[in-house]
Amino acid sequence: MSIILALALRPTDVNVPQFERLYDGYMTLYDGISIVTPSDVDMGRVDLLRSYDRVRVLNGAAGVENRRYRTLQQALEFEDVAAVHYCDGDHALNRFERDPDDWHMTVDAIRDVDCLIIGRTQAVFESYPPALYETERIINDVVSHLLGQRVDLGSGARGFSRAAAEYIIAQDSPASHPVAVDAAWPVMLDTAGFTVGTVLSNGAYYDVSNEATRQRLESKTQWIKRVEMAREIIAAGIRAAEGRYGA
Amino acid sequence: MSETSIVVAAAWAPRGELARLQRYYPRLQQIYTHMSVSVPKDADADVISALQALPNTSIVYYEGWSGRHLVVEDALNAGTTHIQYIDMDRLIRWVETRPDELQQVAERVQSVDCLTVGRTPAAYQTHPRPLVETEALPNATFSQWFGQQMDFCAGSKGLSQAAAEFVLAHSPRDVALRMDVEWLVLVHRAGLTWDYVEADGLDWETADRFKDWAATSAEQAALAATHADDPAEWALRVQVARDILLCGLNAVDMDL
Repeated sequence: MSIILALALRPTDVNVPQFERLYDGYMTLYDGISIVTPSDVDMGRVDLLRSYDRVRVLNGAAGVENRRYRTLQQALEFEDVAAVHYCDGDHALNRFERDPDDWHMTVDAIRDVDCLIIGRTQAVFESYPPALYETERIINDVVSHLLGQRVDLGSGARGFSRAAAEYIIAQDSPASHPVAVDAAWPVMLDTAGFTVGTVLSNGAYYDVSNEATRQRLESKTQWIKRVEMAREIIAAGIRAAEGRYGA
Repeated sequence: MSETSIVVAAAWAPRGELARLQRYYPRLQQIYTHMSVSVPKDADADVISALQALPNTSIVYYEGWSGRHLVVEDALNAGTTHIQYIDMDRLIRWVETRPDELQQVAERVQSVDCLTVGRTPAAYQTHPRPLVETEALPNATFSQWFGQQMDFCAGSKGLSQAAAEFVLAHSPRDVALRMDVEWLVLVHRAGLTWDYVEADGLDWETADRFKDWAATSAEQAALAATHADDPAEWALRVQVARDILLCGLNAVDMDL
């Protein structure tokens, strides 16, 4: 069974060396890695990532583009893909490095369902700043109701069977809102009859690096941003439940 | 068509509105046959004695945050065909600023088992951004559930006697926010009739506190801007929105 790791990643002088350190470990789990970067990145770093045999890197288009969609699409271009493990880029690196056993557990669970929602344990979720924690709880409440099972959607990680990934690519587009897919893709798949399941991970702790960051994360601006994101995600989930999301 | 009658049921945490209530009570008497009011058990004696002096008014006393359920229960004793529940501070502003519209809505309450009264876009815009943005979450979710775009969170519902009895039989009294969405979900699930109307008179009432007259639009805007700048207000409103949502989702799943 061929599993591809799909990342949306902004390459930096921190995470590219981290990727190089982790590459051999990833290759014990995956048959390839799909990476989509923003357009405005150092192409030297992109070329470095491209130098790995089993890595495909797409330097994304300028402007607004759903890189989650693009990396999933690129992952399906590998040969004999059975499943895709999507994760937001920096999270993928940090989680795998910090707790490889937990990461292995989530990869094993991808085989069980068409759409695996990799959520956070309660202890991990409670490590998040209030504006994220409180707004994501609302998203989880609504979408859990839509799906008929308790899920945590905010960890930026999913597993998809090939059929589920192909369905997403056919129904959605790179113009869709990147955070809206948090709810839209699982609900859309559930509505279409794919199996949806969940597993809780310990890997996604939220580290507040310093006091300035803490203040930023507790500011009015952060609340506004997070409430708006919650509105976007919930609205997309509702549209998906009504069959009005995507194409 | 059978004859209808209406009582107003108002939960009140007094914040300097008494004089305005006394001033506009004659207008309320022209609309409603009776007024039921719930006030906190520790409300000022002056407020209680003033309420006792109002004709056709009954008073019940609540502990905790709000007496919404309690005052509807009391209103059933008035023997009218319909009850209009409304938060007292909103009722006073509405009857002061737009009495004709209040009367029209009260008449419409009597045409259906449950009338949800929402805010017009103009009325909604007078509210602080944290409230508007967060209430959009339960409003969007349950508008989808009902198949109609509605504002559930404006603090007023019309109930027939049958609807009120059903709501009180199934709505736990621990959380006042059950009124916003849960009551309508219960009425809908009971197979009773419901409708929706929007009112300008439900513009933002909080700026009225401790004022002799309803706040002007400039006063509303100034206070709304203060709220919008306060992260704690955002946190509070997110929590309120979640509680409204959870009450509604609970009603969707509740065994009836």
